[in-house]
Amino acid sequence: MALGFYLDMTMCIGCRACQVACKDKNNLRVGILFRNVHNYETGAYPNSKLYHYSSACYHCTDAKCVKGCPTGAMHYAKDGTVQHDDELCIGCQYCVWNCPYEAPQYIDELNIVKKCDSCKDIRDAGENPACVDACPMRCLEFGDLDELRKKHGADLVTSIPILPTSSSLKPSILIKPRSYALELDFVEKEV
Amino acid sequence: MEHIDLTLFSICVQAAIGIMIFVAIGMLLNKDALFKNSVFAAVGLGVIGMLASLLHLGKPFSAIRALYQFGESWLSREIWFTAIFMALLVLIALLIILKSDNRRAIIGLAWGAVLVGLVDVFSMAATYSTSSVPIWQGNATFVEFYAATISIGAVLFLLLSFKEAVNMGRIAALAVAAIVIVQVAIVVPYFVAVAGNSSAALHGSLGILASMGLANSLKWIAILSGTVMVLWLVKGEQSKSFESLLAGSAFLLFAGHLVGRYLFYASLVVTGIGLS
Repeated sequence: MALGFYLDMTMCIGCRACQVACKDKNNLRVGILFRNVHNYETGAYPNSKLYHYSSACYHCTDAKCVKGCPTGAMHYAKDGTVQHDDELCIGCQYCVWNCPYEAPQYIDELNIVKKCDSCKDIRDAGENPACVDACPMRCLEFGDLDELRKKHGADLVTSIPILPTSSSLKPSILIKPRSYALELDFVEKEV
Repeated sequence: MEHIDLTLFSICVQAAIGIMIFVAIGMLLNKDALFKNSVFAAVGLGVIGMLASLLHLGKPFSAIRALYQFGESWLSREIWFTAIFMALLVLIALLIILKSDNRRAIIGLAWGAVLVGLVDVFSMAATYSTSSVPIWQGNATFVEFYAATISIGAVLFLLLSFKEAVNMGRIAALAVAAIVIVQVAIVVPYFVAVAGNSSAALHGSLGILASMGLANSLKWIAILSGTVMVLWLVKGEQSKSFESLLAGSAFLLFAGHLVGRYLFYASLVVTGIGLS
């Protein structure tokens, strides 16, 4: 059993409410995002399609950031999520070079790295991560991936073409993709 | 000049390790030589390298914490082996100053430093080759790091200790030539091969390298001409201009590898979303 995020891309409208809620919860300055909504186009006019992909830490069960961290600042919490101990971090940024999902972010003002902790403090109080509750389309959920899979059906995937090939990391993510998000001719778009 | 700190760290520590390789060989081949100049230069380079590495950290005064994860992290192992190498190096320098008659201990420690140093170079290369930066993930990283170690170490050792280093000129020059041949044979085909890879991050790195084509050319010109010079010099060790030409060769090899290492860090593009 692993805890992780579920994203329903078929419902996501790219409003970035999740991104803003995350920024607000973590008090992040301009340029630092623990949750980032990406926009991609596939196909060509008149058959072009746009989709949105909301990404944060994947809390991999075999995380490269944890393996690579020389201080142990990146570690697994008892619930299996990847957490960061700010006190142990020396700001070497090796996790930034190791994570293929752009989750760890170096904060210049603090001289350390920080990342999405899946709002562990809020979850420990029995509530949802800020991004989940902020989503007006209810396309984000967080929980036991086995239960989320049962709830949302069998046509879920753990990767789509825009994501790096990283099955060895065992990312804790379930995605309900739009059909055209599985096409290979994606181009990133600013929306 | 982003990553100049890591460029200096890796080149200086590898140069110090390289010098000690030839010091250790020289001590076996020359009965009385201690190669003071080379050992002290290695200590100086090691200290410069370690200080430069601290500049890379957000919290340099907490650097000791990088030793906590030897069992898991290649970066932690790299720091461990660098620290042990430096400790052995300082011990050798102190023995040379205070108890230079204890030659057996000095030679034993020198070979210990070489062994730890070679493992350290491997750890440095593994630190980068296991990251999510595709351009660093090939054997070329290991070859480039060992090539810098041996090339720079050999010429600096000859330059600093050539009066004591009887019989070492030929060995050092041939070592430089051999490692440069391996470097060209592995690194050039590697970059030709990766150009056909579909990774967007890899192509991002290649694009950066292409935009710095002049620096890349200078790297290879300096390394190849420095190698030719040191081979040429060995033929006529007694010539009057030997010392200045040796200094020129050392400068070219050091500068070539320094520029190459700068390009190594400059080409950093991490695999990311949309860059698969």
